[in-house]
Amino acid sequence: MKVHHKLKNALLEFICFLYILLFVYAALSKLLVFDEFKMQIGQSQMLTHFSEIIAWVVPSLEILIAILIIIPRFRLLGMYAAFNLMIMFTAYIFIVINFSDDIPCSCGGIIEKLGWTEHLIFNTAFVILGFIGILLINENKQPDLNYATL
Amino acid sequence: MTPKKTYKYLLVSTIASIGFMILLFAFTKKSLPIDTSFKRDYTHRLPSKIHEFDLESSRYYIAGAHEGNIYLGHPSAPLSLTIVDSALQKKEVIHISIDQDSLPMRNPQLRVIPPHFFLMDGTVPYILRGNTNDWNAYSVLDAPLYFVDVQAIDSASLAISTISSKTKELALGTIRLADSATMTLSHTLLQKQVDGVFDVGGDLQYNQQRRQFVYTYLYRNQYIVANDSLELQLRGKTIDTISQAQIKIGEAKDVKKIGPALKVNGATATYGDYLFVDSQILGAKESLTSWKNSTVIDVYHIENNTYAFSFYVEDIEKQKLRAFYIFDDKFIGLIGKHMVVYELYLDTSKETKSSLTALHPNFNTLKPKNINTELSVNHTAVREKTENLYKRVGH
Repeated sequence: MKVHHKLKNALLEFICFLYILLFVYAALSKLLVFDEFKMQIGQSQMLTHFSEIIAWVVPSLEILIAILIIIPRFRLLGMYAAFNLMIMFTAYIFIVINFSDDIPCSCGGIIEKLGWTEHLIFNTAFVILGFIGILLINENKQPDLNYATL
Repeated sequence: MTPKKTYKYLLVSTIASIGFMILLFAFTKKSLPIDTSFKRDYTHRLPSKIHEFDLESSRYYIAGAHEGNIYLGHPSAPLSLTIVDSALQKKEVIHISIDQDSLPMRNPQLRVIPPHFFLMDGTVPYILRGNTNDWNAYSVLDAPLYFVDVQAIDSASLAISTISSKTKELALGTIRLADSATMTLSHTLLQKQVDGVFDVGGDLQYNQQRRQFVYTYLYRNQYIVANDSLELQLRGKTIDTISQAQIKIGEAKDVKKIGPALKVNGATATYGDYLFVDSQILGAKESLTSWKNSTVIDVYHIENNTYAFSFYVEDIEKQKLRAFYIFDDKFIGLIGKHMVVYELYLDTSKETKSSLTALHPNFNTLKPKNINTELSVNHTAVREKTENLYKRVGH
């Protein structure tokens, strides 16, 4: 039971680490080529009207979420935000591939080199990890409750 | 938090996130490009498909046509030329020999105007010319003259579009291949609205019968007719009302990219007094089904800048028309892997018009300035005249 618990904790730490790595990397690779990133956003039919805002909001949000995940108190909030941002990215890719004529990608860095199917798989994997992460955080809180009631 | 509650939160937030993206998509979706201020005329005797032929590749482009033969080039076999006769019965592949060991092939283009043909690439650049008797091509370009698009005028001159080194904007011009190659550009034919490169983009054709350039803008309702000396002959209007290019240009450092844009005109072709334009704009009271399952070709009379009529070219296996060519009274189209031939019946329309003019000498005087009013007036005019004509014939 205790080993099990430790394993789960390690998994949670690993998931959080992956998310922090992903978001910090994605945010930095966007900010490093900010003009290009803004241009790519501007090329998307869906985002072009809001390209100025989105170009700033997305990387800031990614960094903010990474920080939330780092701070234990805000980890659950951070994971919810990360999970939903990932869902939005995935939904965006899905819509763009299936229903849009133009398909620009502005994910930044090596992630941009992924094909669209790989991209979907990559994102879905992160969505699932986020899902597991949130469940684990809640479980961690649960035992405390149980001990208390016991 | 109970697991049940967690699942509930996750489910609700997932739905909200996906819903947000769907809404974003729904609100930013390109609406059908409808312009209800004009109405197309489909009453002309409609061109009919007379042949269809499977080319077994969807990458062919039309390099030229002459005496019933259609010449096709293929980007992955730049030294081969496929000849199909317009009855689409014979297919012959010709191999072109070049006077060099190897040539870089970035965007090789073949153009055939018998008895000559050209193998060109404006990005490298090179121009090779040969004779259609032996199909041997020799280099005729001694200076590095770059170009974007090219059409053959005759054996010694080419119509081109290129980025001018002076203005860094797109310009129309000619390359003369006598002795040493020289490029002449006109900086006034194309008129800048946004950036001078993307907004003036269009389809360059050369009309062999009239010996004129015909350049149709992609993003606005205009075409330009110029002679071999690059002198403006006509600025014509296509039938929609989009006179200002609606495009967004993205810029980062030295790179410019075109963002979402409203395409007005697609591919074009010209023959005799006619210009054929693959229109991207839906007019008033047009069938949506036909619009989705086919391509609309608008036909213009370039002598007097009037709209003649429109017709549909049906998709094949859900593929749209991607290139076409006109010669004699035939429309040659490439659709997916297929090649189609339509009979145009252009002469019948001419006859009807001339007979109308003969009966009503004032028919030709109906020439309002604005193309849209002109269209509507002409429609009613034509209808009235036709009715009168029928009445007269009937009695």
